[in-house]
Parts: sequence; structure tokens; C-alpha cells
Amino acid sequence: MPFFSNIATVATYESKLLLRGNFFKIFSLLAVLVIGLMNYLFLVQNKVWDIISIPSNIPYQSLCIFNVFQAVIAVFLSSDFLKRDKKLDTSEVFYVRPLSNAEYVLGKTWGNLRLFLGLNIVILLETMIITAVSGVSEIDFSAYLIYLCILSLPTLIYIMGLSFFVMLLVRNQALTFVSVLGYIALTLFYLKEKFYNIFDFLGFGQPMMKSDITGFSNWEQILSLRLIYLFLGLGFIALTIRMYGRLPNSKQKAKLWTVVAIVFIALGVFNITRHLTGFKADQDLRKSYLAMNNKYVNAPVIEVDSFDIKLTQLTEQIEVNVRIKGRADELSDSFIFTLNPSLQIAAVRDNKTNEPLSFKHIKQIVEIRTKQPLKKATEIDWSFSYKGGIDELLCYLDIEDEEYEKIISQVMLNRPKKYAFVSADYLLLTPESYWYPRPGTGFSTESTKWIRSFFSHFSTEIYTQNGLFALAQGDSVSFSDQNYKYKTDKPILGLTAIVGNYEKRSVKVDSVNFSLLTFKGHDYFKSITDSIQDTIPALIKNMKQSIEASKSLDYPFSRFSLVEVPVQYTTYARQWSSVQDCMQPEIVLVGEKGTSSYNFNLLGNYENMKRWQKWAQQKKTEKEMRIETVISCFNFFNVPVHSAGVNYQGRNGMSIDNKENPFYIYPQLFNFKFNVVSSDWDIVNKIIENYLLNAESLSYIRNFNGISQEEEANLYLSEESLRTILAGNRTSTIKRNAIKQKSKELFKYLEKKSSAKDVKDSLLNYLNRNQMKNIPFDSLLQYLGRAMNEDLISYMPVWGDSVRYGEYLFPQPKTTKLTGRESDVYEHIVQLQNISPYGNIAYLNIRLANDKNKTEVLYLNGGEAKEYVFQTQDPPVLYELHTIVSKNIPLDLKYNVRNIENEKRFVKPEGESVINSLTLEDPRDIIVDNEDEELFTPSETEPVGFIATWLGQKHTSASKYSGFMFWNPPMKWIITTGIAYYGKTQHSAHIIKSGSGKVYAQWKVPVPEEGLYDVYYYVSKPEDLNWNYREKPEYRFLIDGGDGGQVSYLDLRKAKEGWDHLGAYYVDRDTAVIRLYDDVKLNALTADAVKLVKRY
Amino acid sequence: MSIVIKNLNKIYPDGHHALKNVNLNIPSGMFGLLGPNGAGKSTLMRILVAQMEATSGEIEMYGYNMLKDRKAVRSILGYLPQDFRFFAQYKTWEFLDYAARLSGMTQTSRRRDAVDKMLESVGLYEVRNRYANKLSGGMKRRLGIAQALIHDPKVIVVDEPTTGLDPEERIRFRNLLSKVSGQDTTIILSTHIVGDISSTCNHMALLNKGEVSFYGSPQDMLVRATGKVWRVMVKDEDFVQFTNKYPVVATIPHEGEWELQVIADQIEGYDAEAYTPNLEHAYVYFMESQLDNWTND
Repeated sequence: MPFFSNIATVATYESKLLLRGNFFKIFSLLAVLVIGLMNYLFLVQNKVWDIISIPSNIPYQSLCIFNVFQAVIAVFLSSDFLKRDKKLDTSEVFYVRPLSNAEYVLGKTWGNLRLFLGLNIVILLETMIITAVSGVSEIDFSAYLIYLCILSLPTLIYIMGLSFFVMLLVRNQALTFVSVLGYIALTLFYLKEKFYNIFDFLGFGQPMMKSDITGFSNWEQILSLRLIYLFLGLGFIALTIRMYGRLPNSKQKAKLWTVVAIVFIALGVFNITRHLTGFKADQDLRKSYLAMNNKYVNAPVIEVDSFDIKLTQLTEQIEVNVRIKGRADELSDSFIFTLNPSLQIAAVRDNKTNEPLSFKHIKQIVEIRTKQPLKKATEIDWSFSYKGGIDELLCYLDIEDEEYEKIISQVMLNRPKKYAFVSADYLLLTPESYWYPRPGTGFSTESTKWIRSFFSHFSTEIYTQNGLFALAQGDSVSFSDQNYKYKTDKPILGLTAIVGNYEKRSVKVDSVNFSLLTFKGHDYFKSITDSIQDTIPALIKNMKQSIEASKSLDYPFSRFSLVEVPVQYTTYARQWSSVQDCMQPEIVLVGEKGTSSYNFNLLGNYENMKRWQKWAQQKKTEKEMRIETVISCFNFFNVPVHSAGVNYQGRNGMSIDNKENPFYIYPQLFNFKFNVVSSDWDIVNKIIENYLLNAESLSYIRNFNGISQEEEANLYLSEESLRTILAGNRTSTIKRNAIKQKSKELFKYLEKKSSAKDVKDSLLNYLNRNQMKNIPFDSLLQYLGRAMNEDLISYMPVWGDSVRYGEYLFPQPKTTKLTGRESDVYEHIVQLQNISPYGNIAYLNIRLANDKNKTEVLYLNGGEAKEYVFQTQDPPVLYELHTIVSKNIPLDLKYNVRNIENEKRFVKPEGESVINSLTLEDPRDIIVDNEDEELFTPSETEPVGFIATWLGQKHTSASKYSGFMFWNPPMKWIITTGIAYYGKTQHSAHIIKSGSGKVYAQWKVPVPEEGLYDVYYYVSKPEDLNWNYREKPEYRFLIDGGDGGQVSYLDLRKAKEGWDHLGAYYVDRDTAVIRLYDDVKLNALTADAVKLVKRY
Repeated sequence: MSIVIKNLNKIYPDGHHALKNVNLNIPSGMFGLLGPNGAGKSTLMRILVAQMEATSGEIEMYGYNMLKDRKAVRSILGYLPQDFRFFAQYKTWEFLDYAARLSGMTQTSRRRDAVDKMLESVGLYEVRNRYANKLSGGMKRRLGIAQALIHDPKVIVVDEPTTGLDPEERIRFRNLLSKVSGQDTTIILSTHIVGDISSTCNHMALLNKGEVSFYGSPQDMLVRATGKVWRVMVKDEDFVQFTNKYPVVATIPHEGEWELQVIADQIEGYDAEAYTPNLEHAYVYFMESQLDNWTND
């Protein structure tokens, strides 16, 4: 057909033209080199586990990078052909040929496209060869083809179509190139995740990760987004044909291309709408589920003692029969269960009467009606039969839409989210999916009653397909090829059923049967573990005992299974508990090969260790290194904080977020054993966990963020009660840290009443007596209150419903060495004032020599000042005041010990006494700090270009404080905090990138009378002062006392930290104006505080 | 007639009336289109090669209506634009092959033969593997005509083909065109070099300011100029006055005087000798008289 033959002809010669041009040759060479280098670095050199653990991630990452490059080049080449055609009469000799515009444009497009596709294939082959030669991973051949089709192809067609179209519109290649390139950059760096990735034509931010076991989990989402750009690209190409600057062969056919363009663009728009409305529909459905929970949250429930479950795996469905035995929790003829709405109930029967029970299954709520009302504690024996799939939207109703929809990035790859799996090859059902009827409702915003969990016994029988292995909690009672039976020996809070093509390895240690279930073929760890198999039981034992000892808690179950699950399986941190869904009683679910954590990269870690020991000239044996590698992997489960994600805020600083490690083993020892319930506080378990864990904050976070997460939470706690914060729409980080701070405050309050040891012992004693039971919080409080002689129940509203914070003045403590005794004694005089109107708790830690500490919990009423006298045998090193819920920033105040005086007598007796208010500054000093919004003004910053503005845009942060790095200072004013800065209780300073002297900070200092004043500036020495030794870094001040101003320079190298003298100036009006300019030969200007002292 | 042009008008969006009621009947053979810059030649050419649409009027080309049967018209067209350059990345033979394929020569062996034959006939066979941009000016022009001829078109439109060529290359090129025109083909040669037309065309039209000033054979044009060309000897002191009065087409200096060739109905006050006109004289005569008519109008 001439149509295709003409297209092929034009394409052939277009390809020749590009292929013979230097531009494409250079680009191809560069692409091959860059991708080769990146593959070498990722796969061979660093063995990046996030990538190499899943074979399909390797082509995915290669094409992700290459796709960005090729989009840029495609813009240039595709706009180039129109430029060429416009410029040269040469094209006219082809234009007079009988081919149609469509044939010509399509030929040119195909000519471009096939070259790029060819290059894609080269890149993929290169990736494949590097993978094969390095042997870091198996090769997932199908993934190479699939990612080519879903990642590269739609991007290429779209960007080519768009470039043609823009070029036709603006008729200038440079303008086309700049505008489309700008659009690419905007999409890549800014828009990519906005509006559900709708702008992400590169597919860079779209979740496309594939499981090695279950394949892609989100085809519909992938296709809907990729088809948007495929259709829009085709639409633009059709428009190009229509608008092409050559007379068409036939006007009718030209009109036809208008129709084609409209159809394609309409299909693109349809997919956009479908994509967006899909999210909206999901949100609405989740809201409706939540509404149902809210409606039924207070309805009567059955306290289930035992579940007897028969689960049959079908193709894409499950069939379940459940027998429930339990007791009515109150008098009623209607009882509520929650069951996934995609499961269709066939029947509910009363086994005692062998009669069907009346039921309604509306959305997730199952309401069972009995013929007669059941009295409280009446025993029931009911059966449910149902069949169907799982609607995952029911899961995590407590998670805000933003976080629920947030894409999880793993290096540059994006992981789709799944909460349950139901297929013929694989089944993963956790309690969160409500695959069996659970009493009561799920998460509700109306009441905390929903949080009641019940310890129940489970007897589970699973029928699998195709000889797959099945696992659930409990002892394996019997098993055959297709039938597995488990029975729990201790009551648990919920049941998880898993069916898959698993290999199981088990070892019995300390009466606990430890199992590792991995997918067949995923035994990548064997090369490290095989030769130390005999040692592994001992390692597990050590680990178990060490964890138990450190937490003062025992592992309660006789089995422990570490189960590999598909990579898409996702869980969330909950506000009320540290248990994430990947942590189930006696089971831990870890994503495919532990892909998201380098701890699981046994071979890579082992090789790194080998290299390191060679470099450090250590003499470890192979076996020792293997053992250390395995221990490092085990340690992953004993780290409370999982990761610290850095959020760059461009030139305006950065922030860092610590995330709870979902695999932290602690819930196995605490949450699955103890369940404290409260009708008032759903976070009660979290409060206790926080206390027992005593997790300290990561100090580097405050350096990055300019403020610690606890301090940020304190800012809110100084304005709102804990209950208000939890009910409001603060971020989960703020809520989490607010709970942490208040938990610390509560238990430090108790410790003040007795001692830290007593509080912990009493708590653990009570909990251990009530294992596997629901423990009412009030009972616990009464118990603790009795032990501490305190009415804790009436203290709780004060604690949680009112705003209470401390704000402390803490001058340098005085240290005296008492000599002339058998052994030296050190006396410490510590003065402290709480200037807030509320009484509150803080604690003092005196770090002593020989790694000793003296810790005292201190309570000060609002406005109260106290002096504490302590004595120690060991010399002090550091005084640390840990404020808890306070306005102090930083909240931990530290003083190194200096000027120890020698005395022969005790200066003061040990104890505490109330003293007069503290005055840290001379009252005659006039100080204006940068926190003073009225008297301190940072000038407007210099206007910056779009890109700089964009790069420097401030990340939306809840805090007014930000962090910064001295090598990348902010282009606009930020406020950062640190003990080096001046502040009565909040030590902060304004920071900006140094400049030409146009930007300044201004202090207006009101003076009581005319006269000569000494002017001081509060100096904090910036980090780069040590690096920038060639320049003479000076701060330039303009000090205006009414004479128009005099310039004063402050040599930062010579200046001392703290108040430094700028000179004496005459002030002949009521205000002195001091300006500090940004033309300092350092990376940044720090504007803090000024002080005026009158000379008499 | 192979090409019939009726009442052709072209008005550009800026209001410029480039062609005004052009009517032409173009027979087979070489047809010359003569006219000064801005006369509308290029506009007419672009309309004839289906690169531009006329504002009104009709063109019929070998029975095909230019508006309705554009594809058919394009299939019988060959075109050599004036400013013809090459994609540097194509070899000489590839350029011809590309053109041949787009003209419907899909059978590879037949096309390759045709390409070789064409390369031989334009004297480029020896340089067939040379990149097109490495050819000399004359060779490029020959390659240009070769691509216009590769598919045996009925109508070949050639725009200013000999501009910039040396005399030898120009004669060679003219001969090439003459040879083709003998093969039942219409060649429209647009030029402002009168010599190209006088030596090759049987018919011609003179365009001026978008209108046809003359239509006929070059001989007819010569007849119209006979008796209007004079040879005059003018003294140095009269030279300025004379040249201001009469249009001079040639000036030859002698000792103390000038030998001038002049276009005029008659010469007054000087000894003038009637001169046998050539086409260039006729072209100037027409342009002058058109200008007078236009001025008188």
C-alpha cells in the first residue's frame, strides 16, 4: 500500500539523516556511556539493593534515567525536522511528490521513533549484559520489553507530538526547544507527583515497580496514566498533520485528520478524567466506609473467644467458612461485625439452633439480628459462609488521603501499594483487610470504642491451589499438598493467612520455632549463610535474649516466622500504636528480599565488609565476617527508627524526617501480649510503648531541620492540648512527637513521685499479670496511682486536655570541689526558673567522669525559681537540662563544666530551695533579638529569577524554623535555632546567603535617654569560618544614633562567641537603628541580637 | 494544451496582489517564463507545483484539475527550485532513490536501474556515492534536475536553473533540458536570464507586476521589437544627455565617443543605425513599453 510504503520511505531516509548526523551519534554514545556508568555504579560497584534485589528493577531504573535524556533529545530532533523543512527548498522537491501530508509527517515521526526505540534496545541490551556479566541479579526478560512499552514508548510519542505541535505554533526551534525543555524540567522536578502524577509524562514519578512473584499490581493505573500521554502524543501528531505547512493532497482527508486529532485528544482527556475521578471515587468510597464505621462504632459487639476458619483459595477469589464462639458484650438483639465489602455472605447460621440468622451486609458492616435479645455475656456459636475478593480501599481508613495516596520511592523507582493479595498464585490476608468477620467496626472518628481488640483463639484450615504452601498463626496441626491446618496455643489479636510458592527453613531456639519463608528461587542469602549454618541458631538465641533483656519483656509465642511477601505490600505507621501491619503476632512480613533495606543485601554487605577490613587492615576471618553480616541483617529488626528521608527545600534549607521502623520487633514483645484499652484515649498503648522504649531523638535531625521534631511538636503543645492536636489535621510527625513528649511528661511526673525504677517495675508487673487480655487504662492508672500515691485518673484531664508547658531559664551551674577529705566530693549548685505560667517537669542529667550519670527529675510551678544542690563523688563533665513539654528551643540545654572552685567546706547542703527570680541579663541592658517581630526587621531580599525562585521555594513546613547547610545557604531569610544563638529561652537567628550589601537586617533599639551607649552584637561563629581561612570575614554594621549612621566592622575571626563589643555610639534620639549588611565574605549572614549598654 | 491557466489571481494576506488575472495556455515542450524580480514568477511557479493555493482561477494540467486532483497533479510533476540545497547526509544516489520512491517507484530493482540511468544521463554516475553536498555547483544543479526527472514527469517546473553556473555548465544544462523537452514533456522554465529562453524555448510568457505582458514564441517577441533597436555613436560631451533620454542596452567606449545600443521607436538628433534585435533587446523593449503604458495609464 502506498500509504505504508511512503511512510516507510520517509522514515528510512529520516532515520538515515539522523543516524548520520553528529548530534544523534554523540547523544547515543553519551547515553550508552552514562547508562553503562550508572549501571556499573548501581549494580556492580555499590550493589544498590533497592535495585538489584528485584530483577525487573534493573531495566526499570535504566529506562527511568534514559527516558529523561531521550525526551530532551527527542524535543530537539523532532523540532529540528520542521526547522529543516522550513529552511531548505530541498524539502519542496519532496513536497511536490504525490505523498500525503500524513504519510510525510508519520514517516518523519516513525523515522525518529524507530531510531530512539533502537537506542532503547541498545540501552536495555547494555543493561542486560552488565547484569549478566556481574551476576548481581537474575534477568527478567519480560520486564525489559514491558518497561520499553510502558515507559519509553508513550513518552517518546508524546514528546515528539508535542514538539511538532509547539514548533508549528511558534515556528521557532529555539523557542520550541526552550519551552518544551522548561516543561520537561517543571514536570520532572516540580509537577511530577502533583495531582496524582497527571503531569508525569516521563513516568518518572509513577509507581511501576513489578513484583518478581505477583508481577504488576496496578495495571489499570499504569495504563490509564501512560495512555493519557500516548493518546495526547498521537493527537498532537494528528494535529501536526492537519496543520502541516504543505497543501494537502485532499481537503477531505485533511479534515479527517482533524477528527483523528480530536478523537485522540479526547481519549487522552478521557483518561485524565478517569484517572482523577478514580482517585476521587476511591476517596469517596473510603469516606463512605468511614461514615459506616462512625455510624456503628457504638453498636453492641460479640467478644469472640474463638474463630474456626476454613479458607479456600480460588482463582482471584476466596471462599470462607467461619465459626465464631463468643459472648455478647451487652444486652442486644443486634451485633456488629466488619467484613470486607467485596466478600458476599451466603449465609449466617446459629449453630446452637441450627437456624439461619438474619443479617445485613451494607458496605463493610455486617449486622446480625437475633430473634431474641441476648443478655450480656450470653454465649453465641455462629457460622458465616462467604465468598469473593478483597476491596483494599477498606484498609487504613485512619490514614489521611495525602499519605494514603503518597507514592513510595525506592531510589528513583516507585513502588505501588497493596494491602492484600488474592490471586490463584498468591494470597496474603491480614486482619486489616477484614477477610474474616471481626467484631465491631474499624477506625472511627466519632469514638475510640472501635479500638477494642479481642484476644481470640484461631483454628485455621486453608485449602490451596496448585500445591502452594499455606501459613497462618498457630501450631501446624496437619498438612498435605493442598490442605494446611493451624491452631493457636495462645490467644492473639488477629489472624493472617498467607498462601504462596514458599520454601520454608526452620530452626528451634530457646523453645521457639524460628522459620524463614522465602519464595522459591529467592534464596540469595545462601552464599553467605550456608557456611555458617551451625552458628545461626546461636545468633538467633543471642539476639532474642539481648532484645528481651533490653526491653525487660519476653517473647510470648512458641513460633516466629519471617515471611517474604510481594514488594507492593505496604503498611502505615498508626497514630495509636507502633504496630504496623507487617508485624503480626508471631509473623513478620518483609517485602521481597527485603528490597527497601540494605541490611538484607547480605552479599553486598559482606563484600563491603571485606573491602573495609582490607582497608582498615583488620584480621577478621571469613566466618566472622559472614556472622557479622547476618547479625547486621538481624539488627534491622531491633532499630526503632527505620529511615531518615531528606526533604530538600532548594536554597531555602532542608528538612529531614525520621520514620518508625515498621519491622521493629518490639510489638511482638509488647503489643501482641498487652492490650491497654481506654474509652478516652485511643493512643494509650502508644503512650506506654513510648515510655518503655525511651526512644531518644536523633540529634542530626535538628541540625538538618533547624529545629528538632520534638521542639516542633512542643511549639504546638504550647498552644493546644494533646487532645486538640490529635483531633486536628497536624501532620503525623507532629502528632507522633506530641504523643512522645506528653508520654515522657506523664511518666517523668510519676518518676518524680517515686523513682524511675519503681515506675517501670510497677508498670511491667501489672502488664505481665494481664497478658493476652484487654487491660482497661483506668485500672492501670489506679494501680500505678496507688503505687505512687497519686490520683492519676484525675490527673489525666490536666495532662491531656489542657495546655501546659514549661519555659526555663537555666544559667551555668556552679561546681565546687570539696577537698581535704578521704575522697573528693563535687558540689553542684543548679539554679532553674520556670517562667511559664504552668507547673511542669524537666530533668537534669549531670554527666560524670567514668561514664556515670546523675539524673534528677525536677518540678517547678509556673513562675517558680529553684536552686538545687547535688553532690557527687565523680567530677562532672556536662550539665544537661532536658526540658520536656516546653517552649525552650533547643529543648535540651547543656553546659560544659568550667571553673571548678576548690573549697574545704560544703558551700550549701544538698536539697532544693525556692529562690528569687533569676536574671540572666543586667536589667539595664537593652537587648533586641531577632525573635522580636516589632523591633527586628530583615530587609526584602533581592529579586531572583524564576529558576532561582523555583529552586529556592520554601517547602511547606508547619514550623517557622528551617535548617540549612552552610555550603548551600538560603536565598531568602530563614530562621534557624541552636544553642549558639542568642535567646532568652528560644535561641534563634535569621540566616541568608551573603550578597552584595543590598540586603540587611535591622534592629531598632529604643533607648530610655540620650547618651553614649556601648553597642554589642551576639556572635555565633559559622561553620565555614574554619574553611574560609583566606578571606577576612567581617560583618558590616551601620549604627545610627541620630547622626545618619557610622560604619562599624566586626572581624569574625577575632570576635569572641557571645556578646562582642562594636564600639560606643552617641544616641541623640529615642531609638538607635542598627543595620547588618549581607556583604560578608562568608557563605551566609547570621542576624541574631544586639545589645546597648549606657555609659554613665 | 498541456497546461491551461484561467483567470489566476493570488492575493497575499498582506494585500499584495501578486498575480492578476493570469491566463496562459502552455503547450508541450519548453515554455519560458520571463520577468523581472517581483513580477510574480515565483508565485506562479509555486502555484503550478501545488505548493501554494491561488486566490481564484483555475489550472488544468494534462486534464487534471489542480484544486481537485492535487495528488494526480503531483504525480506528474517534477520540480527544481531555485535555491536548491541538499541534506548533507544523503549520497547522490540516495537522494535520487528517495525521490523515486516517493514518486511511486516501489520496486527496488526497477528503481535502482532508473536511478543509475538518470545518474548516467546527467553525468553524475561517477560520483554516485559522493555525499550530495560535496558536489560542485553544476553537479548539484544536474542532480537537482535529475531528481525532477527521475519519475518521468509530464510537467517539469524549473526555477532560475542556470543562475550562478559557468557558461560551459549553463550550456550543458540547457542542452539537458532541451533533450528532455523532446520527450513529450512540458518544461516550464522561469528565469530572468533571457539567453536561457532564446536558446531553448518554443513558447514563452513575459510577466510584469503580476500580469502577462507578452505571450507567444520568442520569435514573435523579436518581431515585435524589430525596428526598435538602434546603434548610435555619441560624443563624450553628449553621453549624459543621451543616456538620460533613451534606454541604453549596450555601451561600448571608443576614442572620444561611445557606441550605444538603444531601444526606442526612433532617435532624434543623432545618427542612428537600425540594429537587428535579439531576445534581450525585445525583453527590454517590452519592459520599457509596459512601463510607459503603465505610466500613461
